[in-house]
Amino acid sequence: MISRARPLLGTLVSIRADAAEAALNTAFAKVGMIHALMSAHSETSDLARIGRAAHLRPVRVHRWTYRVLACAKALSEASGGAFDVTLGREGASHADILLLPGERVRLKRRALLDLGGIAKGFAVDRAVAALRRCGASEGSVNAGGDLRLFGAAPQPVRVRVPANPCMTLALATQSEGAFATSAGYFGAGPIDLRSGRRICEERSITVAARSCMIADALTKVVAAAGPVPHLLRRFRARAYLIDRDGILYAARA
Amino acid sequence: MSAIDPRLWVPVALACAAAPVQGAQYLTLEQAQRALFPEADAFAPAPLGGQRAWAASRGGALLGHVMVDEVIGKHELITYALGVGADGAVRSVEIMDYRESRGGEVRDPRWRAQFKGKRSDSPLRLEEDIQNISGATLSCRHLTEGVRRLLALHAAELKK
Repeated sequence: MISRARPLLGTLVSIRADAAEAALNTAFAKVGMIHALMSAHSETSDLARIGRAAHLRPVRVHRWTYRVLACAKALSEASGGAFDVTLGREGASHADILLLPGERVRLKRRALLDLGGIAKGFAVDRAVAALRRCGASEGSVNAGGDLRLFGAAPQPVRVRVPANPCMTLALATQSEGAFATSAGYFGAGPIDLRSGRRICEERSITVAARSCMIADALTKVVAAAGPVPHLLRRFRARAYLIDRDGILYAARA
Repeated sequence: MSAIDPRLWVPVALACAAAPVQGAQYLTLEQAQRALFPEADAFAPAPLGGQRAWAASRGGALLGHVMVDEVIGKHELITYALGVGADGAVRSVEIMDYRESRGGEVRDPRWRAQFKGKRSDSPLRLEEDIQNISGATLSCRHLTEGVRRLLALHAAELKK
């Protein structure tokens, strides 16, 4: 079992696996590739190309970008807009994103997209897939709190306490699965698109799901709209909350 | 801040069950050197502008430099190694060691009160390392700034 950590996706990405150094390098390379494709700050990313031209003509994107956009759109529709990757300027919404055949993206009106609430989870999923392809049978990938476990052996998972992020509470012990947490500590909390206010400054929301992409995106839905039971059931997810007093709650099934 | 709706949420654990975050050691100096320059057969100390650094070479030919630095954030202390090729291009950044301050800043005194007498004697839980912690970690701003500083130093030294 080896562990490595590198700064990527604007955070610290750590990988642990029973694999050779080369397998971890491959997994880090996948994360770096997703960073390049889906960064909101780079001029050459797929997102920047969509922002520049997709309101004029279809823009061909990488299949991974297409996949993340398709998942984002499905979550937007399922959550009634509580999750939305369009930055709500000039009235644009997820309904303005058209996903055309041939991995092409068209926007009904000019809009800027931000995959910050979902791409990190997808990067973790791709890193795990790469490790498995390279022969790893057990390990974990953690991108600044977006976490995925794989392998047969159960692993303990802890979650930070929002009022004191240097302390953690035990959340679960399991062998396969993904966890993502949204919180205001370290200034990284999500913003409610409807009010423009930061959500959960003193509480944190954690979602456990089968893929890290779903877990990542659902934390934003739960933070904005609460633990909507039919959504959690549909994505086979569980939701947790830690309040300002450090009490851990689980969403009722 | 609205109250927690008991129709939606059930309490499952109390704050007094909390344990401090543990640090993680990823690479020793020697392992970091090997990870950054696997083809090298020698690493000679070669400080660059007062910074700890090693020249990586193979058969006497210079491959590049490994520079080691520490960054201190609000909660964390990170030791990292930067690999720079002889052409000045970054090979990779590897985290060697990651530590978080125990306790840190507690904003809410009401919450802190629950921990009175608890934090200092919390047993270390060494089997649980940093990997399996969900919840945003530090921003990498300090690290990015550190890498930028090392690269500037490297460029200035090599111009001499």
